Amino acid sequence: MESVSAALEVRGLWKRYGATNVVRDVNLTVERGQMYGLLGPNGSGKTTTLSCALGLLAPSRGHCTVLGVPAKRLHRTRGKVGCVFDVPAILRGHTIQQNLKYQARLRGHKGGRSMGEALERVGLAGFEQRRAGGLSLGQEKRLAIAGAIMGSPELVVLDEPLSGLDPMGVRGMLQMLEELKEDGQTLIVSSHRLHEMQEILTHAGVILDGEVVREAPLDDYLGKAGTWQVEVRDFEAAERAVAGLGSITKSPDGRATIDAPGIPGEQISAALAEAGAGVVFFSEARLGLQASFELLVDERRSARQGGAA
Amino acid sequence: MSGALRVLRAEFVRLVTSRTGMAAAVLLLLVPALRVLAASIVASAKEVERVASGGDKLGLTEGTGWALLVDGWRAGLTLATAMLLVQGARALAGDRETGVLRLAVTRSASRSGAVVGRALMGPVLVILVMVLTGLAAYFSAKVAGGDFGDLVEDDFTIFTGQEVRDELIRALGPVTAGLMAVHAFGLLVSSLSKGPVLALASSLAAILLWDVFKGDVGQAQYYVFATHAPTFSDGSAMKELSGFARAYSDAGLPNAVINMGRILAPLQAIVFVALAALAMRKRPI
Repeated sequence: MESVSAALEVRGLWKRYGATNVVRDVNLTVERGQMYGLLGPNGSGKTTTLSCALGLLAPSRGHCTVLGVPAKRLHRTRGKVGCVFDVPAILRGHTIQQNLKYQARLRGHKGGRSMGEALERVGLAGFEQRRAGGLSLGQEKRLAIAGAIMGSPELVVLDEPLSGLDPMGVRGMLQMLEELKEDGQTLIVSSHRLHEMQEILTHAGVILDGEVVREAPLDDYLGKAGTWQVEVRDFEAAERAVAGLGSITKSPDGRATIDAPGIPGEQISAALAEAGAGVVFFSEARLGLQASFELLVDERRSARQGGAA
Repeated sequence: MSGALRVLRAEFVRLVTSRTGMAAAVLLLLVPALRVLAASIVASAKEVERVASGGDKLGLTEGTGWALLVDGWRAGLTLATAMLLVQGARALAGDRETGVLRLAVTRSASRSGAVVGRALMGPVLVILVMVLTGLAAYFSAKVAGGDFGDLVEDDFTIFTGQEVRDELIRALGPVTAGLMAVHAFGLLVSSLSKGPVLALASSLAAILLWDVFKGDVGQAQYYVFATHAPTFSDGSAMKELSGFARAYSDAGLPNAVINMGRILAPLQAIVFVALAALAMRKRPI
């Protein structure tokens, strides 16, 4: 049974081009309020999945619902969905203001206050009369996002928002996405830029070769919270310090791992210092999205090799 | 239907705020004016030649504005035929290429709504070009000294002003319908094409080919919408109207042909739009 609250649900999605299955049995669920990342390398099927999910591409099999509405009837959500694809859909011969007016008319209103707010949000306020054809790629993407978030849609889908941007552009875009997240906006972002995505996502689905190999909250990818890597001069003192907070195990490399879920790092660090453990190194032991992703790729490769053998 | 109307409103805003739209409007005002100017210069030159050679005065002595009006209007509408075809052909293929079509489909209109909304721009555009080219031709004819009274030659009234007006209105019916069908045809080609360049080339080639060969099919040419739109090899009611405005007594298309234009061209336009909507139902956007 489909969840009523889901912003996006994809069930058993297949997309075939000729003899190639570009997307295979994809299942995704994005709940409202999530900042969901659809992550995968180039050509893994992210854009195809999103295109099918938004009714822009007919799936070979399976079905998708957006805000409870079947994807091919997406227009019935009446402007509650905004989306921006890799190449921003803008009218290059028109000004920024005219672009937003066009999009506002498509949604059945005149723009007005929501237009100004959207421009403010993406940092294009004051540039209303500038021709879209003369904008940089970063500004084009911002304009497209302004169009997508105008009128406060319930769901915003961004396909590769970071692609083609310079480091400053990436920073600005992440900041903007972070602000949207703070506003409680449900966002689906596809990207292959894992390091940057780690900063903003709450949930992620990893897609490899057209298959979703993992879908989980971001913390699950990053590793167990409350695990710390330490290097101490006196291991026994460290053991005494940690007793009652959690457990400590020595690693072969001379370091140690402290497992103390729910205990703040400052408290552990203070306890180690008080016990005279002689802390040389202290850091949270989390994988990071990139490393987690690489593990998934390796696992998949091994599974395939095993299957082939 | 509300989705199609939203698309129509958005497309209208897009058109009137675009530089291309403005340039097209200027051209549609300029071409009839230049045509009238050229016709009046030729008429003046002939008059000078007649006076110099001491010949008798030939042709109309009153109602000279009608021929200027029709010639100017016809020139403007010939340009409009090409423009409407280009607009229709660009509408879907171009917007699909740039991703603009996605905006409509993901925001407020079904695929069919996005097509119908763009198709509804056809009648709006045709009314606009009719008004623009008509006004430009009328005022240019006035400036050139033409009058819009009865058509009089050798003190003999051949057609009254009212008769010319009636014939003008009679001719504009199939021409208007033909222009709308041309736009819809462009839209259909656009929905079937992979890109805007191919859509433009295909639709222009189809209309030009018809222009070249339509004479070979005789009266059957009037079954086809494109015959009723003014083109370079004009077979439309505007061509006959041009003769009528010069008081040629055999000018003017029979009622059967006029009715074919009035009825068949809009029907063909509806079929084109329906086919375009059908074609877009399965295409990736």
